[in-house]
Amino acid sequence: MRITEQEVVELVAKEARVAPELLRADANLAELDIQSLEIVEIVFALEERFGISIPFNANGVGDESAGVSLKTVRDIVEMVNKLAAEQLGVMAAD
Amino acid sequence: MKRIVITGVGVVSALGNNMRDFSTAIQLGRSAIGPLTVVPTEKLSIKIAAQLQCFTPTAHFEERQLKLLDRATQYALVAAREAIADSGIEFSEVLSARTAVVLGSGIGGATSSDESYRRLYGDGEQRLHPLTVPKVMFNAAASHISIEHRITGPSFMVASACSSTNSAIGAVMQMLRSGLVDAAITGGTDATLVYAGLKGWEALRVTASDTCRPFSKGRLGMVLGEGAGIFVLETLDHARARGAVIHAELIGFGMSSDASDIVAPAISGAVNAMTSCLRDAGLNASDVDYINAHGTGTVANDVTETAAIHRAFGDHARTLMVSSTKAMHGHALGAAGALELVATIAGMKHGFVPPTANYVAADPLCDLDCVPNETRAIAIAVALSNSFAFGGQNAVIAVRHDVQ
Repeated sequence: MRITEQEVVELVAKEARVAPELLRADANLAELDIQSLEIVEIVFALEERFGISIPFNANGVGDESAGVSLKTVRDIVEMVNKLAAEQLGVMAAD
Repeated sequence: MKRIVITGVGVVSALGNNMRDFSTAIQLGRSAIGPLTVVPTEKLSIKIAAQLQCFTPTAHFEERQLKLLDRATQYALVAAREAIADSGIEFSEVLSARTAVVLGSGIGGATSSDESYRRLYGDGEQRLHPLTVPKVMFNAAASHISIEHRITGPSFMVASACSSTNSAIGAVMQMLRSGLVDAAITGGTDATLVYAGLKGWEALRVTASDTCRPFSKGRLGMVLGEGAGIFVLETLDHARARGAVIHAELIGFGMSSDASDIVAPAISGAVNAMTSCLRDAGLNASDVDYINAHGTGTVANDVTETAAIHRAFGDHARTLMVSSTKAMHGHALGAAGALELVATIAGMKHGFVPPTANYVAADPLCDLDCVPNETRAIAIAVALSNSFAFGGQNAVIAVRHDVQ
């Protein structure tokens, strides 16, 4: 199993109801008006979809000290791949 | 003390998802009790219920909203939209702050709790949906009404099991009378047809296997229903000032506790609630034309309620009409009083007395005029609506059709 950026983008687009084409790697979630509650739903959906556990605390959105940074689409893709590799032994995909 | 009138009514129930359909069904004496299909019944002894027909959540809410809305909240929101539209009330910034939202519910977001627990304990999942807490929380229905209609006055929910609606109406009446608010959205909601909840009722062994036959010989117990009834209340002055159409006046409220048994009803508690309601409304017993009874169809309730009506009304108990509309819309627990007030208002507006459906034959222990099976074309001027709850919490309201 390999997790692609495309898979992550599709999931984020669905949860946040944002057109997938807007979710370029450097797209800033806050600028796309993706709110904190939606971030929590995205985290939940990522965990469910990829069977990973994300050390995320909604009190620190965008704050590195909260464990993970989820400012951009790239952040999410990198985080999912990193956690999948650590937790499931899945090879990260480009 | 300010007078209070009902200017808007909305309803979601097995008899219809709006006032017109509900009212027609009540007038026809139609029972909505039928096969229970919204939950699997293979391992359930309860096979019948008064369940909603044609209620499609996506017709009322966006998919995204539904993630946040338990079924009980959905019913309350849909009924509130109808009630507010019916009243024609518009919430200016000033009025919005002087409007309360106070609803009753017996079991709150039970469907969402049940789904969450099944996921955790049944399916062995590790995590719950992130919106579980705001969906399950008991006050959600009142909150969502306040949010949707931008009502900024006091809002909360009241729980007293099967008398929750009447308790909520009583609470809001005090707020209106005292001048704390000028208007209120009140009523009740419950989504009772939840698997674990039904298993609880099954274990209690008080539900009927055939149908609900209140006050009738051969009755075998209660049948669950669900839904919401929502009302717009205003002070009479406020309603008149804006030229509102008035459905009825809320003239009295009485409340009591049995302080005896957690499930068995006490005659004294029911008597105290009815007599304090009459006193509050300034009514003589003989002024009352009709009582919408609690009338669950259990042996215990109907005999106790009959004895209580005799004690509270004396000789007039032989004359006044008493029916239980639960035989038609089922027992909606915390929303029971709401559906029953809607039925009473429907009767008042259209000049009929709602019948007790499914009635087979007289029970000597329920020697009241129960309006068996056939609607009567008699105008109701003054009515009481009784709600007596598990826990011995009783709440009775009095309504008058004409504003004098």
